[in-house]
Amino acid sequence: MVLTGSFCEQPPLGLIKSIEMAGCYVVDDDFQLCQSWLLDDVPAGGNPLEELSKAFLHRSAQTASKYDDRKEDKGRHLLHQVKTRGAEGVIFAAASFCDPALLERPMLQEILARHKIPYTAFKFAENTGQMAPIREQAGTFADSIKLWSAA
Amino acid sequence: MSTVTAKKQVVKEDAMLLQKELINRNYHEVATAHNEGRKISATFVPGNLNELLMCFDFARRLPETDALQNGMRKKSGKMIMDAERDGHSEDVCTYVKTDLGMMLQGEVGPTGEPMPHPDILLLSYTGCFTFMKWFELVRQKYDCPTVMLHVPYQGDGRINPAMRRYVVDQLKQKVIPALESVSGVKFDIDRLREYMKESVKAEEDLVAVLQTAKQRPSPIDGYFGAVYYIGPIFTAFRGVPEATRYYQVLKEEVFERMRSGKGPVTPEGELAEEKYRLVVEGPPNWTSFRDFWKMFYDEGAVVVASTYSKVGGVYDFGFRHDPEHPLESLADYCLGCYTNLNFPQRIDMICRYMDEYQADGLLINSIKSCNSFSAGQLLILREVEKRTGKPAAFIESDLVDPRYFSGANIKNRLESYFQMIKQKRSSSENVHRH
Amino acid sequence: MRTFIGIDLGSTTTKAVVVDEARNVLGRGITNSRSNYDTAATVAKQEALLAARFFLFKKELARNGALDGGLEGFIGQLERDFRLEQYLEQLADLSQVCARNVKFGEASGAVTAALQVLFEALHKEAAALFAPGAKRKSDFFRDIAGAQYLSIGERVAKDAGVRYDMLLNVFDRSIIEVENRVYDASIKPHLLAALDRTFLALPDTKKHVVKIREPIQAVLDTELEETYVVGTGYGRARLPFSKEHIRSEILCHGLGAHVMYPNTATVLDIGGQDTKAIQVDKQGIVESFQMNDRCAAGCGRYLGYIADEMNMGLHELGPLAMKATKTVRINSTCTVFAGAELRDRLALGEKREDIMAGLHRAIILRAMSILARSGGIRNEFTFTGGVAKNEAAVKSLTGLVKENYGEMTLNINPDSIYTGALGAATFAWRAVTEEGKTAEARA
Repeated sequence: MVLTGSFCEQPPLGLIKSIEMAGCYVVDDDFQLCQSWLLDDVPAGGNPLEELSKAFLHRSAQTASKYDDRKEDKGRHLLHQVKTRGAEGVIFAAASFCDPALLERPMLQEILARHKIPYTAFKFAENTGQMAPIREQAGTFADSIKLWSAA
Repeated sequence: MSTVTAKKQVVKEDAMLLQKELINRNYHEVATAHNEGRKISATFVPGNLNELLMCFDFARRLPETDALQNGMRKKSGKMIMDAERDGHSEDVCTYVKTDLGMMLQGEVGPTGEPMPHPDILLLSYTGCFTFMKWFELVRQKYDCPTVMLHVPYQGDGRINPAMRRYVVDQLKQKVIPALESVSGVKFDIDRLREYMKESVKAEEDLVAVLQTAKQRPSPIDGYFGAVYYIGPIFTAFRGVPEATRYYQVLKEEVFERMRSGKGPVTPEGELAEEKYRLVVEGPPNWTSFRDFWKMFYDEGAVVVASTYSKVGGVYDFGFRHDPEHPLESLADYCLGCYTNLNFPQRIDMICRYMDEYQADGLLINSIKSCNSFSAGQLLILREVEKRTGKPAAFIESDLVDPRYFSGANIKNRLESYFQMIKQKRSSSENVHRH
Repeated sequence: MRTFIGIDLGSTTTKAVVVDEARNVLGRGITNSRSNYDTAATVAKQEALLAARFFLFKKELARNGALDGGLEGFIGQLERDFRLEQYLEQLADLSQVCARNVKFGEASGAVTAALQVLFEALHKEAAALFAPGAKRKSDFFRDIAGAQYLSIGERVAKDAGVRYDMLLNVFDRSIIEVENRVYDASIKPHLLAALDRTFLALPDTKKHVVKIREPIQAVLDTELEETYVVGTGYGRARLPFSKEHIRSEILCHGLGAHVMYPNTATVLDIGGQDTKAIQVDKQGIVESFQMNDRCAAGCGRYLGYIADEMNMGLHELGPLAMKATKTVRINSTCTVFAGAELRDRLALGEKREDIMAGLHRAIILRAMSILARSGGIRNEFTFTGGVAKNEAAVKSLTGLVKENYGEMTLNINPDSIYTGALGAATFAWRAVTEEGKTAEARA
């Protein structure tokens, strides 16, 4: 699975554990977005402020909090993750009320559907210990992929 | 108590009727645009470049106002649920879901007339991230050409020249060319100037109207009434002569009320005795708009100033569109919308209103689905209380989702708040011996 | 004598407080808020006036010294006997209503006969319910009669060969009518009848019959004039009073807390289904408030569900939690999921008392959040509402306040459930004494 949810930081450990316990290997994710923002090293030569600005503008990760100038670019990064990591599905786990993750989600889901990539989605509350529903949903999702792909 | 004919159940004034005409006519224009060979644009109220769009003969849609129209007509509930079934989260902005839900039902607008999909989305990103995603969603689903205008947030509480230049450059290099391309009309800056001259007149009159609330008693309600007054200027009519006329008529009506020492006209009738004067922060609830207003009316409460009536432009602190520098002026207009102001600016505005409009207190209507307004409202509340020494109250509802309006709870909190103010007043008159 | 009455219609219970012209509390009354708000208000008021009479009995009897040494015992017995008289009348009423509600076709005859046997047994058991030292889970007729009916009814149904669920059905259909009836005309006769019983129960007192009867009769004959009544709480808009006689529950709670503890600056009230955080000034006037009234999480109702799930009485939860030896983190106090979360924890092997402690802490954490939103906790801090009687909740609150705000005076009164009603009564007193109002005629 690719686990995506516009995670500013690391989500509760319980969330990650629950998903794995439910039978999903998380092969890629978007945890700690701020840390993975820049895609490569910022050139050390030249004007540092300019180089840093250019890096942020032109060589930064595609995330929900940014505007995609072209419609065709939407979901490019997610598809790339799925294809290159050999994932069989995507789990959307957004924190409650997280506008970037929740507003982006329907667009990404539509793109995944077009590419016939299965997905499931739920919200989690950052301070809750109630992981049982998440375990159930993730588990059912994993099972459904096993069952239906075997067919 | 009715000021108009007795057979009308809800009390209305001439300006109100004029405004309704304007709105209906616009819906009709949008419905027939394609047949007349015109294109349709869509943009947001904060940062709406109406004069610019008129230069390209667009029939103009503002999806937010469609959402609130649907809300007031009690159609939004179903639209929101349709959108949620289509995969949109319960947590997100209900304007967005109402619009997407409406579009799922086909190309029909709030009045029942056709509402074709827009030919261009002018995505003016003026402080509200959700709005940016809104047009991404519409673009994705309905394949509408989109041009994005990035208005920098006033993080430092002021507009610096670089910010203005950035917006003007985008207008010149991206926005105008895109509008030309879609509409087929060449940009004429003089035409823009003419529209702006018209806008200024309307802006003057609007401000004059809003500021009558400084009187005791206030002849207007600066929240419930004001959302009607800002309608034309915040939407498809700024720069249009009919709108200017509307504001002239409105101003005359309001000034007449002021001269007679009358209170505002409400759907329940004229407010006879002004008991409480409030400043309100936050958008109103549209699905129970009249019930909500009645709660104030029943207590003799008038809103003298509000921040939501500045969401589409702040005109009462001096800004006017400037035909001499049209593009810079458009930039300044966008940069100055309430949603693009930082917290200190918002707090300053509220404190200024509390003082200049002699308010008894602040009321915050916190909208469940609107992070743009809600984030930080408790901070605003505490800070305003501290600075003004006046009490503040906090109620919760939503824009257009009827499930999140609990009349009983809101009434309970409002009544407690008004009684609190009343108690404070009488305690400074009596000294209680305990 | 002139009295001023405050009535607080809560979501779970309705309270009334009666004060005299010197603002001394004469009596308090409480009843379960039922489907008919008007009745709940009337019953609560009656209970309070009744308590006022007992207070006055005590005062008069103490004055003439007729019961030197035995006053408490006598009054206690009189109260029990009075309750017994009340209960018997309501039981007889219930019996009649039940008989009317037997509609089971062919089975009706048998059911009616079984009911007669059942009510005879209930009548016989009645005295034991009000014997000295008798323990009850609740003082409300519905609960007492209901519990008795359920247990005795099972036996009777079996013996009579009648379906138990039919007997239950009759009760359910009849109880509302009975509990919504007002018995105010019966109070005097009940008191006099109870007095007779008391003399029988305490034969030593018979020698002072006249010295005891006289003051009691005098008090009974004194009119307690309801000079002004103020209502508050949920459903207050449905009280038979005009707007002038209604005050917001926020104001009443603030003022009530101030009357109980004049140095109060912050009030926390955790009620049946809402939580209020109130800041008051030195005169007891509210300065700011925050409410959580959109969600019952962490309120009294939540504890009610937990009690049901654990098959315990509400008042047993606190003591159980106090036995905890470990902190179990409960993250959500969502009432809807209360049962599921509880079962989850039990299944994971957690001990009941540890889970209880965790629950109480979760409730208080929620309250702390609302307090912070209202402006924090300032000295002195008064904790009111039904949940304030829960020692585990108090323990949790004390700890969290100290941790977050430092040393503070925490005021908790066992009668704090009456805070709102006390505030309302004070408003009533103020209305007449300071604002010169007179009560309006009620239809």
